[in-house]
Amino acid sequence: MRNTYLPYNPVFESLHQQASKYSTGSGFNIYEQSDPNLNAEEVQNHVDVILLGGEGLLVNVMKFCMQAPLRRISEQTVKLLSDKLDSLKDNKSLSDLVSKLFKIWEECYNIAASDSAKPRIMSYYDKVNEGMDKLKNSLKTLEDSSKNQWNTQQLLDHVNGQMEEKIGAYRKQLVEIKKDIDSGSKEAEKK
Amino acid sequence: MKKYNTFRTSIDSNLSVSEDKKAREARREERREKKFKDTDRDFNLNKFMQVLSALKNSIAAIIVECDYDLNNTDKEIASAKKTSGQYREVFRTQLRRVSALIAQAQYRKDKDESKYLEAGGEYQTLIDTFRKQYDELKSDFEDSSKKYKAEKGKEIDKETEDMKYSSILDPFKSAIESFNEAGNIFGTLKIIELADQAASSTPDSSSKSDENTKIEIKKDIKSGTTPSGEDGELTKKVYKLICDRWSKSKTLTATNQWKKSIFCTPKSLIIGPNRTACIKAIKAAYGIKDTTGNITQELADELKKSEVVTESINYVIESSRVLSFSDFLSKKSRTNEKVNIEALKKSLGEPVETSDNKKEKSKESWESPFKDREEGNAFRKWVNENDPEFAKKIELDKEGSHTNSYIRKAWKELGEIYSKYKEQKKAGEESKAKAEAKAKIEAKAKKDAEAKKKKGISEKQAKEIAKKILVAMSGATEDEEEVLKIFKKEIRDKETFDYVEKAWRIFSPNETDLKQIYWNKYDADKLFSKERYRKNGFHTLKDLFKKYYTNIDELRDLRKVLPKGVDI
Repeated sequence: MRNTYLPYNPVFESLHQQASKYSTGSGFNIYEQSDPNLNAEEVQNHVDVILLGGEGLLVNVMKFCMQAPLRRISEQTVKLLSDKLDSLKDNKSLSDLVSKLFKIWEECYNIAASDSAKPRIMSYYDKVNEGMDKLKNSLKTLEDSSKNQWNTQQLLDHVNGQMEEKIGAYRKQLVEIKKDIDSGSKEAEKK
Repeated sequence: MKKYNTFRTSIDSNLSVSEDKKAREARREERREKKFKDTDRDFNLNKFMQVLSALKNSIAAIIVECDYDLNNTDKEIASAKKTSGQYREVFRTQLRRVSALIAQAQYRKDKDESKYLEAGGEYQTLIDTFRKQYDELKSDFEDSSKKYKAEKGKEIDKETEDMKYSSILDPFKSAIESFNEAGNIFGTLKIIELADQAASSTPDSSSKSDENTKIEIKKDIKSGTTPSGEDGELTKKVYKLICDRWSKSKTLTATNQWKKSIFCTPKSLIIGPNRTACIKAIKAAYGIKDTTGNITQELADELKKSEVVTESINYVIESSRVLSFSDFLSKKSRTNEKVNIEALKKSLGEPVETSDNKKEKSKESWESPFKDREEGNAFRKWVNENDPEFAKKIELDKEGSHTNSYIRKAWKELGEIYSKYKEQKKAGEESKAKAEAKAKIEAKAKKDAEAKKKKGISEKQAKEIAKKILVAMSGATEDEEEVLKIFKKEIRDKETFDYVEKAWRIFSPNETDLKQIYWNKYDADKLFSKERYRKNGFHTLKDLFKKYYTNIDELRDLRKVLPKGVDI
């Protein structure tokens, strides 16, 4: 008789099949391996974490573009971010926003790659790039599993609203960084 | 609910660093610690400072991570801000402690001009304090970084608690790990940048700062003298400028005068004949009228104005300067100036050998004595019949090209005897010619063997030394000091080094061999008992040292004991 308390069917599933349905993660958790099929709420939750969350795409693109190891690179990347920040406001679709963010990162990467200190600094940028690729994978899977829920007007409005707020905060942060860079350059000139 | 709490697999924050590399690094650190923790030995200040520097880098990297969290305007990580704010102060205190400890050790080293503090002597209390402080600092940092990482992990778990599908979550978490690793790398880069900035603001500490400090040479510093006092200081600065501007010039650095001058790390300030020759040549290249080897104001001015000369040989090329970060800070862009390399060459008066003209030279010096392949084969056959050992040694076949390197080698050794043999043969004295040639070859072989015996070490000895190096570098002992001892005691000249390297090349152990010796799965004797050529082995000692001497201080120590003419 089937034990309804078990999350699997011990009669029809081999141990291997049962095990392969789950994977372990940190924090005493086990996650489902099966193909995700997300509803609207779940999609929004995922977007909040992967795209807009504290460890998500937006934060990391902003962080790693602002956080350059050399001042001359910061100057260029901060300028790039200042120019592009407003373009992140009104997005036609979620995919549009995602591709814009990845494009900004790509441009930051290229700025660093064309610097004369390339051999010294690229290990850092390559590592970030590795992370960006993984995020891309995660977002791609999310998009594929969200199906009709990905490009809904409701979700887009939610994201655009969040972006509006965040862009204001980032704008302030960029102004501060720019001040720092300018004062640093002046000091260097004095020396 | 589809989430089931069961057990935890810990995620190592440094997944991408291979276990092997990590284990190796841990062993290395352990060995370094031994050098100052072992109570029976003298306290090694260098190793102590190296370990402290590594600790300092780790602390700095984690502070950078905290800094970012604190500056981040994102609302979602308000809790992260709290954690980072708390721990940032803890780490900053630790950073101050480690810096103070390094400064103390450096002060003691500079004052006593020795890298050792004698155990049981007057410094025993200081040694104990150093050890105690280091242990406390290390355990404090380990504890707090563990706690910090655990709390950060909890925050991530909290944030991702609604995510249940591994196909989405796994790459996301993996991305976070990559970003964390990038943060660690950034910490190290930041330290380099700070060091650059510090260097550019301290006079005499970098070449670029020399541009800002004036060099006023009131009276020419004469060639042939050893400047001291104020002149000594000025000479030092000029030498440094020469090193900065000219050490990338292939034309100048290929000369013996430059090699002997050692402008970059001068032990003495004497303006000897070699330095005089270089100064004269540099003056000529800048078009300075004064043609003496004296250090003049004009020379100093030209050097300051000049860019780094990076010409390629046989061309007069505009020098192009690589801008460093401090250049960028000072925002000084210089226009290219032409440097007359032809005048430099003329002044040096010695032909400069490049790989290209070396090849040409060797081609010119070898004109095949054989008209065709047939004649070449006759010589090959003769060598194989009369001196089979030599033929085997140089791998000379009985048939082959009459112009290649094998026949060239054979001709160099036996050409004279063969020519005489041929002459006698023509004159109809074949048997006499044969006997004479044989006698000559035997005499030559005997002479060579004796010379070899006198000159260098035997193959067996070379093999033994190579074996010792292998054992010292294997995981088991991997002891840099042991390698230094081997060089000091047994490899004193280039010739011995070449013999050892030859022995090494025959066996070319690879990374796996080194590991196997560590695990006692291979025996060094066994490894060196059979000739083999490992495809991915360290074919030269240089390859080996390049791979394992990743610490600049250790490499510097090694370079000090290398015999003359050997460079790693």
